[in-house]
Amino acid sequence: MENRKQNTKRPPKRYWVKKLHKYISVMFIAIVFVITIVNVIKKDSDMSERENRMLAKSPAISFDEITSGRFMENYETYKSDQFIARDFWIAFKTQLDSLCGKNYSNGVYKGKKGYLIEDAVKPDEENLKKNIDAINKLADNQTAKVYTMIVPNAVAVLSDLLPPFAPVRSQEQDLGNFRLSLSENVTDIDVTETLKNHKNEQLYYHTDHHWTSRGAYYSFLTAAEFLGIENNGMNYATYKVCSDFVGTMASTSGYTGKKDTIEVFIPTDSSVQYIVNYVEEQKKTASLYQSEKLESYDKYAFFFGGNSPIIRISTTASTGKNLLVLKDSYANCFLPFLIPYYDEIVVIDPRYYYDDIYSEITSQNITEILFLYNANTFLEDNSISGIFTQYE
Amino acid sequence: MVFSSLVFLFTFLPITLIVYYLVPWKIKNIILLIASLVFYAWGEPIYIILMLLSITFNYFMGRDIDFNRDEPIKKKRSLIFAIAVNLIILGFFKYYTFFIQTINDIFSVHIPYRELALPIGISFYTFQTLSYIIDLYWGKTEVQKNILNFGLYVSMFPQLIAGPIIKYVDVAAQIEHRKLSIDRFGSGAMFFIRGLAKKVLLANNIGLLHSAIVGMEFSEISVLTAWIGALAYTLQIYFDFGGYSDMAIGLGRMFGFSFTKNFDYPYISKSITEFWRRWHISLSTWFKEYVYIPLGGNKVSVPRHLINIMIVWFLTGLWHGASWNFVAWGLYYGILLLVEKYILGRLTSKMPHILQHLYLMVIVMIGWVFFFSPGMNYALTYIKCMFTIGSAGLVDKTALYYLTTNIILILICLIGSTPYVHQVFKSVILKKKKKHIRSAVIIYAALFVMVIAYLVSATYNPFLYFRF
Repeated sequence: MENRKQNTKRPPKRYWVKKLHKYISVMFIAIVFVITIVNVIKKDSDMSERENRMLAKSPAISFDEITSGRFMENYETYKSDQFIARDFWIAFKTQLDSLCGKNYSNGVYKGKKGYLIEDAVKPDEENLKKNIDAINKLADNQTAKVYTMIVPNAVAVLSDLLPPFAPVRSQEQDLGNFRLSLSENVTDIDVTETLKNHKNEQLYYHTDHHWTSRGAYYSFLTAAEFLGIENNGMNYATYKVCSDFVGTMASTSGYTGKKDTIEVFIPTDSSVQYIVNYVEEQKKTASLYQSEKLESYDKYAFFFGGNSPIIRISTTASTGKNLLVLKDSYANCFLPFLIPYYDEIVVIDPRYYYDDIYSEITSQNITEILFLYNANTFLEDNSISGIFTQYE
Repeated sequence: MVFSSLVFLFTFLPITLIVYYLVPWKIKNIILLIASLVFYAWGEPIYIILMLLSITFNYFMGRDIDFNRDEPIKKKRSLIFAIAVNLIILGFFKYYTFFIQTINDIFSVHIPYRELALPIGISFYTFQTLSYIIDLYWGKTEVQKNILNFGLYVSMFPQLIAGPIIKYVDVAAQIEHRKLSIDRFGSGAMFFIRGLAKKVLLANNIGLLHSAIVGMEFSEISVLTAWIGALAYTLQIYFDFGGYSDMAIGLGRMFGFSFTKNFDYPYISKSITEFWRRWHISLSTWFKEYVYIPLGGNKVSVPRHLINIMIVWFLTGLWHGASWNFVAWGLYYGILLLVEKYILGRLTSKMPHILQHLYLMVIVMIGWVFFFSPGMNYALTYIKCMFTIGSAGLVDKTALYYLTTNIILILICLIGSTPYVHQVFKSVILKKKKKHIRSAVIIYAALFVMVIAYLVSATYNPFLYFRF
């Protein structure tokens, strides 16, 4: 307690506390009311660029909606979706988290050198076993040769760039277990070493979960040996088609990573012509790339316009080889490298494909089948086995 | 509705404040009652009927007890009836499922049951109405003749859904007469912002650490990870509950009420007895006044005292949740309190202070394991992980990761659970300089702004063409 005699000239303690309370009141009321009023008068936005979705609209009100509590839920979503400067608050919060030392958000690590790295998934053991059984059965029963190529993700290849002590699963171990359970009739193409040897180049996008054309290029060189492709030192020209790509990892985590460049590799000494047939979309083109996608949110869809259930690529290669690729989106930037070496490439995405795969294999005289996935999708996939059992 | 939500802060609160401050005194209580009912109905549009019934029933029982105040037998009969009905309602909605499950387990039968959603706040408002009824019976308080005022006591939104449990005697006078001033409003706003920050910035974030750890397989949890998980929950529950109490007290002040404090830095305690004097004070007081003392308290023989203590702690555990691990948690404290009182107390009080704190915190952290576990098996396995080296070892990469990425937050929480921050803050303000006042306002504004950022971000919901 202070000495009263000394302090007689100053106002008493209570005076300062009162003053503080007064200013706090003004501050509190100002913040609450200004935000409330601004939220009311600001126009609702339709869409969030950052979150890539439509924002909630003012909810309908009725007796039923209220008694069921739906109105209240919708109203809360509406209020938060339409909150003034929503993106600013989110960016600010991410900054605060980083200041406190957090480097993991929504399954994404904020890595070094501007990389946002997706965590390794835990394998879905049950579905994984079904998928492996389906692949083995296919290899044992079909005349076509079966290859698997499961590409490790950035989390395994760029593990040096993860934050210190990041407790990630070992994808190499999960993929090792996968390889051990493959039938001897399946040829596995392991590109892990290849990618690791080039890990200082840009093999993966900083802000997206995909690999780059460069990562695909090096992997193709390794795969070519397995696939029996005579690649007599084909030369490629590289072109940068976009330099402001911000991908899924940035939107999932809320972190800002380094903006990415999308590159394409065009063979300079190939005279093979081709036509791409998007069967479901009933569209044929002579290009593998859709530049209008570079203007959209999902710029990786530049390669083949994203994922289609089935694409048939017919070429003038006349090598007598016909390839079926069962794949996820990692294949999209890999396929261009295969084109000069096959007469017909059928690309099927089992997640969207519901037709008879066996008749496709027969009618197109498929001689080789390649399963091309990234590890995180493959280890969690629940659609591969289905397309084989469905028409047995 | 909860306080830590955008709708509360930027719709409900400003509207309620404006209307409340603008209307004349005569109808302020009615406005606050209406606001409280809207607040409750927002989250429980159906169960509000239950609360209204409870209000009506207890209002009339209060009138009845008062009417029979000179006829002891009739009065007692009314009291027992009122207590029974209140407990049956609470029992039905809170413990019915648990009760049937237990019977099914013990007698290996299969009585079918429907799981009922627990009406929010029923444990709190039932205890409040009981305090009114019992105090009225004891003649400690006057009857409330105005049903609207009584309704306001039961449903008042600042303390409706998570306490503190306010005894009727403590607010009876304030319901009729209270003061509003900018001074009181400001001190309320400080409490409120502090509480919000505790809940949103500290509890929610340290809670993420806790849920990451309890989401792991036991085989992956090293000894250090287990302790970090227990510590994270220890901090989470204090800042969550303590923060909520601060918000309640703060809002109460903004509307002219003064509620007594509910938490008094429990983690600086040096004994279990002291911990329970500082933790959830309104609940401990309630059990002491309405269960422990009526049972005879400690003015009885030692065996009887043991029984009294165990009854109180069995009920305290059960009050926290309808599940055996809460009962275990209650009994754990009952036994430890008795051990401390009759055996260890003399020993521990001679230990160096730092050891006394350590002893208390280890006991409290183990207690919280019972509290956060979904069942007894989980709790015991978790405790085993804390004390024996399992397959993940003593220290592993995961533990180091969680420690390094949360150390700042953990330190802030640890310092924040001691009185030092507040002491420093006070001593600076009392230096009586204008610029100190200004910095204090800036600090509180910054806390509020950070809270808003976390609340908005909690709804961050990117749509992803992910995995495609």
